[in-house]
Amino acid sequence: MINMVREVVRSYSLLLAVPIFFITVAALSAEKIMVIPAIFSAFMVGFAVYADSDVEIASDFALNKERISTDGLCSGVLSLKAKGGFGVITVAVPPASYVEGDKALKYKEGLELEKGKASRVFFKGLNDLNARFTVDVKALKRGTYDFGLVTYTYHGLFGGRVIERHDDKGIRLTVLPKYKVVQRGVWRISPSSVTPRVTPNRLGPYSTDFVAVKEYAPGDPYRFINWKATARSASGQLMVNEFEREGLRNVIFLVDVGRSMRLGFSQENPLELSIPLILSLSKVLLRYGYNVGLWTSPPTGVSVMPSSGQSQFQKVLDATLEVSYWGERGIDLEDAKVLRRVISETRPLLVILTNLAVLDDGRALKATICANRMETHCRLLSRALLIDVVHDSIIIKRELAAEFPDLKLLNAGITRKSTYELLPQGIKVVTWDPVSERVGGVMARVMPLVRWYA
Amino acid sequence: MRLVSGFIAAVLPLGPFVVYLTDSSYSPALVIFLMAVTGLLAAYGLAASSRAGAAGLFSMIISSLLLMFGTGYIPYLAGFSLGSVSATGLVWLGISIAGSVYAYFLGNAYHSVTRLSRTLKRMNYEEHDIAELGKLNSSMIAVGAGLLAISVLAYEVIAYVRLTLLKNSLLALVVFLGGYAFIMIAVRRRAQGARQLDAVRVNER
Repeated sequence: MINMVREVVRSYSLLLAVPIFFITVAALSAEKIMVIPAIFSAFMVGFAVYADSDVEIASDFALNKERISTDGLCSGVLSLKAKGGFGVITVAVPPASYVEGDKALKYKEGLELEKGKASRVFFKGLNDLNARFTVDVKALKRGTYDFGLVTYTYHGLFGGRVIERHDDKGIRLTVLPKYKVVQRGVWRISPSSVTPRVTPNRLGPYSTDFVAVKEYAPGDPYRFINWKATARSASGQLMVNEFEREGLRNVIFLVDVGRSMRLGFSQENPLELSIPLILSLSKVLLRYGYNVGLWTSPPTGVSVMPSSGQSQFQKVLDATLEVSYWGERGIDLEDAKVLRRVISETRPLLVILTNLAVLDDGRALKATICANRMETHCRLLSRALLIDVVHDSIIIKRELAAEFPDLKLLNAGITRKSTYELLPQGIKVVTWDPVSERVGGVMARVMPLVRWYA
Repeated sequence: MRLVSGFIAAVLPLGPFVVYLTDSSYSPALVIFLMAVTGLLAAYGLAASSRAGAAGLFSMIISSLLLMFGTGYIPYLAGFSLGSVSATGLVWLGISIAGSVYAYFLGNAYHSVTRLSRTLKRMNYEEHDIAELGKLNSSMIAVGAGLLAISVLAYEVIAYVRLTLLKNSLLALVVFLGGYAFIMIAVRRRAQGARQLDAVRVNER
């Protein structure tokens, strides 16, 4: 009781003095009429103390769907209950609750309010507050979004108390990229050797076709140790024979996440357009029994080890949700080592998706795929097929769309031959203008090359 | 509604001085001067939206002091009086000083709501949301008016019952302070009780 009195006196010392002042005036002036302001001010101070008391807010936020595809809709419903206090409560639900902080751009570009408002203001009077509202959100861009943050701010009537709370419900919204499932194509892509269609192994058994003598690496079979070569080795390294391996063909998609991949618009740029192509190609390759893997260039920690089977497609799909621009992540050097090791072990066909808008953008790519990391004479780690996703017509199309709605661009502005000539030898380049050519079209051009190179 | 509360907060503080001008023997020059100061404070408070309660505070303090130096123990002991108020005027004076208290609280609420309204506009809230602040203002006006009515009613009850206790003003002061402390603790306890109840409910879940 004494503590409570102390607390009240400490918090409202000036305000509490008002009724005491009036009753003192009433006593000294001997005018009982002054009881009216004394009683009234006591009531008002009581009201101010009540308005300034803590408000208890409880909320429940639920999504009708936690997995949608791009351009899909989901609805979030917030139920809000508040007790105590007298003022206004501002409430923000996703995506508005993520507008501040380092994720703001991701939410701004990736999600759009279709219906309703994600930020609301409610008056909290003397009665308990029971409010409910719905927001319809449209997904614009693939990715995984934290979608459970509800923020409240209570503003007391006299401005004495501002209570800010964050309540994370732990909900995640997964926005899957849209991709085209190509059932039949004009290409013939079954692997030339007779191999099992689906196998958990990355590679089949070793053949008798000798490739080279190399330094021993953990995992190499002991029976391949070349004792004579080891004895001749100046450094004393253990040497092993390397043989061709039978089994499935390996394809690793290497997605450039550099600045040029962002040229265009937030939802329509080479990176965003590459993802559906990767998924469509993966679907077909996995159906035909290829091993499919995925890495980013430069390595950012998003990777899928090459493997086959339909579960592998899910892994690739999940990984594509995490692929984002280089600026948002650091380079994972450990992942780069893993990629090099996987390439040296499985000798895959590297399908590189990039946008060679500026030559400098190819440097990071070179550093990843060149075995000797030299600027001039690059020895490729493996065979490579480069899909150059050009951005020029994406911008031109949008700018001219309003004026010429029926405009069809025919590979406009593709004059990159000089750039291609500077690429390391052995890279086959396929130029893709996503505005004038659909995914099916580019797949028809790419798949025979995949078959040839893989 | 925000403008209404601002207007009330500016006009009510002038009430006690009107009573002093019409129903008292106080120097009109002094009263008009104080009234002008109150008016200026009210105008400044409304324009700047920062000290809208200042006029109410000034009015309630000054008009109470005028009364204290006009009648009661201080003039009796000091041997001089600033003036006197008629019996009818005293009733209106009590109510108008209570009105100044009301203006003081409304002015503070006006300032708080104006600031909040600016913040919400800056954060791109829509008119529909900002309209919730209007509800806050109207509720404040209603609650204040209700409490003022209850206070007048309570005074009438006290005057009608003619409690022996209240005949001694010092004893009345002690009784009031006791009752006042009781109200504050009850208000605080209610708020705390609600919190504890919610905490129990959360634990039960």
